[in-house]
Amino acid sequence: MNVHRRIAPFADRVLPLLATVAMLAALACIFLYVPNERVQGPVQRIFYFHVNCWWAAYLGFFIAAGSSALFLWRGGASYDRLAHAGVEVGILFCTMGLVTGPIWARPIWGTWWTWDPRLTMAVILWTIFAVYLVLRSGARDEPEISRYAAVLAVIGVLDIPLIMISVRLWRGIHPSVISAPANKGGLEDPRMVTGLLVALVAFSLLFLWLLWLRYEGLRLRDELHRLEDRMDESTR
Amino acid sequence: MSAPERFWFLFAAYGAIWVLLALFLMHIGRRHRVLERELRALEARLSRQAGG
Repeated sequence: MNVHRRIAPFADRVLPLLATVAMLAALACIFLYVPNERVQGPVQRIFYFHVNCWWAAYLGFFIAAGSSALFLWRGGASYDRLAHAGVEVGILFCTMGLVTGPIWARPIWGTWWTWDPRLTMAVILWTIFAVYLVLRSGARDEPEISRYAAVLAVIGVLDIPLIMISVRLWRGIHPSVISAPANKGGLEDPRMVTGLLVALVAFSLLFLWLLWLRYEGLRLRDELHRLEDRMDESTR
Repeated sequence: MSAPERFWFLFAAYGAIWVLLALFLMHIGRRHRVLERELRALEARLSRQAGG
């Protein structure tokens, strides 16, 4: 409770402001500072947001899996709420990643979509966590449903390492820009690295703010249901 | 593909991100309004109980 009280003023007032400023700085950096990539031209600028969408999605799903594991181990509604909020925000960024990828692929690969291993794994990841949200779509969280959802989150997150290594493991066509050297499809200019890092900070802050908003919404909902239950008991 | 055509893809990608973010924030806003309604209903119940 004390931790919550200490975080709340920062998360309610400072975090949205920081996220907005960082996002504006990222956009300025990407469109005004970072140079055009030699082969792809302006379309390559999608990369700076696309990669960070996936970063935020993975962050959300890892937080969800970690909190779910703690919920299964120790119990506690706050772990369950954090997991639920993590999945909701994670799936938003996962959807952004899945939408921006094909928009980049169309002018570069000549097709919107291909069943490349990494892309297929990414769709599987989205589906797993969409099922998680369907499981939790009831007005109230039944304890059994919470446990099933927690197990699903812990298992579902195992898809992320597979996505990461799929390019090397199955030799897909998805580029691995960050791990590749500059002369072999990596970031050829230091300004590109700066653009990516500024966007990384912006997406991390945006992620934290949205996570906080959803966590608070779920906490208030649970608090309200608890009060309703107490009233129902007292009127019986 | 010409450079202006490629620009359209760039704007489409960034536009899609902002649209999705706006939809998510609207979804959060709707959930908060539902919470507010439930809270008012609870308050009304409380005041009825206190009165009667």
